Amino acid sequence: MKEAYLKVKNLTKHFPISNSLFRRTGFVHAVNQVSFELYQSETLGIVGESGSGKSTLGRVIMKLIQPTAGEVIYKGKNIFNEPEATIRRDMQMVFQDPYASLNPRMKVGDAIAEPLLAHHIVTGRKEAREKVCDLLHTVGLQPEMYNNFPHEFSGGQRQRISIARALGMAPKLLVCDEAASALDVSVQAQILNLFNNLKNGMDLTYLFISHDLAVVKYISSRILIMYLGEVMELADTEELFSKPLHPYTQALISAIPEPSTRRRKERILLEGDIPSSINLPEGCKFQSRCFKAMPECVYTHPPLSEVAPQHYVRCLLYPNQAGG
Amino acid sequence: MPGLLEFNNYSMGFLNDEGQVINMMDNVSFAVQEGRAVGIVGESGCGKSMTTLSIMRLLPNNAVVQGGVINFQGTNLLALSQESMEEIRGKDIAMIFQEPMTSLNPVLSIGFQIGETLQRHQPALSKAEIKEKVIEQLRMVGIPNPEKRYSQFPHQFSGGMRQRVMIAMATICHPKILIADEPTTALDVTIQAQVLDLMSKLKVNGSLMLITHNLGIVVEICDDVVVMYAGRVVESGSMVEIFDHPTHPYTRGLFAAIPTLTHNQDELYTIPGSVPVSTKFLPGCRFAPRCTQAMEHCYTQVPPERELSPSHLVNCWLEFEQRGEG
Ligand SMILES: Nc1ncnc2c1ncn2[C@@H]1O[C@H](COP(=O)(O)OP(=O)(O)OP(=O)(O)O)[C@@H](O)[C@H]1O
Ligand SMILES: Nc1ncnc2c1ncn2[C@@H]1O[C@H](COP(=O)(O)OP(=O)(O)OP(=O)(O)O)[C@@H](O)[C@H]1O
Ligand code: SF4
Ligand SMILES: [Mg+2]
Ligand SMILES: [Mg+2]
Repeated sequence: MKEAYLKVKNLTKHFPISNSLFRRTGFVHAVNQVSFELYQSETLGIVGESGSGKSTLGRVIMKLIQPTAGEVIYKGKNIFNEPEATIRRDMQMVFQDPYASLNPRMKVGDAIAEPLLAHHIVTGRKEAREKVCDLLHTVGLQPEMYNNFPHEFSGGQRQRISIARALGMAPKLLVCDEAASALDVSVQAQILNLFNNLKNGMDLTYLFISHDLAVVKYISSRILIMYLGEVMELADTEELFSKPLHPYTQALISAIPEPSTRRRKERILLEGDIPSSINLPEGCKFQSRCFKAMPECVYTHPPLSEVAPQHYVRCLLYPNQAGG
Repeated sequence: MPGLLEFNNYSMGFLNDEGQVINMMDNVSFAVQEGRAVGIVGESGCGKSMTTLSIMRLLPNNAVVQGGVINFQGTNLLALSQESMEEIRGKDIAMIFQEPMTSLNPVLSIGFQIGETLQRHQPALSKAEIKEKVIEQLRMVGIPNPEKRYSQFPHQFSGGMRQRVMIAMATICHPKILIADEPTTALDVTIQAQVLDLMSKLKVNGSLMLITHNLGIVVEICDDVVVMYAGRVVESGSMVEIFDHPTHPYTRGLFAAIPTLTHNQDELYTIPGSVPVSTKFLPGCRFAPRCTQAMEHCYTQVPPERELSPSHLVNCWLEFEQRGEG
């Protein structure tokens, strides 16, 4: 049995929405009753279309926003009842847009040194400078770049800088939110390899959020598929691709255009648009677009069930097998 | 065979603060044949959008055409008067932009905006005829309830629907060539699949120039491929030739760097370094500083164009094996 590093239990985040008169008119159901365990040293990929709640899930787990309900158990305690400091060093986040998270008027070396000094990881400027040069080297940048400003770097280099900044805290868990998505293909490959090398070298655990299933397949050992704030499927990467069970997962895999001239299996074309997460359907959230929907899907909300060892699916096509 | 649309040694650049022109696109040559779909691929900044804007004569103010011609049906577009160009734009050559929201007017109804294009190019049509044609067009691109949707506004449409509206607008005059610049980049995969399906159904009616950085989309839609790097064409040919025998060191690197669903690699191939900015372009091969096979003269002399097969050209100093018709 693998050891759970983090336990996410029924995590829910609803954002209130108001009209122009500041009257509350409803809720965006960004994350709904999400539960999973994150294992020590694994890379768990989180995939889903725009608005499915991936970033919100990441931000709640990082304690950057409060959940509406649910718990995240870390070292035996619910992090939402603990002070900020208990998790901040162990968990760091890398975002999509490295430019937005770097101060344009601060030398990148100082930007990396800042949290090190604030958290007393180093004492004094000299030690900070040495540590920063180490970190720059770790992420494949030259230490001489210490004195440069963010605008003097390319997108890929800036992403390396924000990774260096996160690594300075010697985190155990890194939440990467679309951390390679804005990069060009050739640079994306460099950053993905960097993530893999760091993981092996520093025994990191990753939560890797991306809308690109091919990227997630490459980097993850397990994959969690989200749709309208819910977990639709969770399985080992190999298993998910060889035996995708949820119709949404099947459609998603088939929809990815592959750069090869070999004939591929027919594409599953989903009809309609992704519904808004304000007025959620009552039954299965995927029901309005599902190509296998049955009459009961309209009113019965399927539970997430373990249909094979370590393979979870939320779909009425699969009766709960491991539950009994 | 002369193409419907042809770039012949076309070069353009940008004026810098000192009033000098810094070259960007250099001696670009390729052709879009009648009834075929051409994919233009390459990483950010390689000049894909400048290629399309050059055809439409919609280049930014500081851009300067440095030489060459862009022929459309044998006429050099660069030499046309503004009025003749107006006449061609939207009618014979139509374009779909990456971000549909910025190219739709938020305060005008969808029906009016599509109808406007039709009215401009076919002034003899009556109001009722225009409305009928617009509704028919909306139905064709798969908008449910087109009669109701006709009078709605852009914000009432989802991203995928807006892109369908753009396709409807661009194709209503049955253009001879449709230019689509990253038409699905802003869309989710399952919605992208819907739009790609629509585009491949439409493509039977004319030529298509598809700009994308997604090689998977090229396979779905395109017959021919042009690979660009730093303002130059480095490799071009039929889609099957390029995908089955990628030859230029950059093309090969690009293919190997992409994680795909079918390949199981431990480590992704990486092209060292990053794309240069135009002020740092070398006089020789612009890819040389990142090329693992570069030779001394690669840095100083522009690589020659070599024909690998009748449907495959590559611009590189390396010696390659010739192949027969692929
Ligand atoms: N601060 C907020 N206030 C209100 N609604 C929000 C807020 N943050 C996110 N949402 C909504 O919550 C839902 C989930 O958003 P989230 O950003 O988590 O999705 P995502 O899966 O990360 O999407 P993307 O792939 O586009 O990044 C969306 O409907 C979004 O509009
Ligand atoms: N107005 C301008 N002045 C100076 N340089 C410009 C201007 N517009 C574009 N460029 C430069 O011209 C080059 C080509 O730009 P272009 O927009 O054609 O790239 P692209 O291949 O379409 O990239 P992307 O995939 O990011 O859309 C880029 O290096 C860009 O920085
Ligand atoms: S010309 Fe030289 S540097 Fe350029 S791609 Fe070919 S081998 Fe590499
Ligand atoms: Mg997000
Ligand atoms: Mg562009």
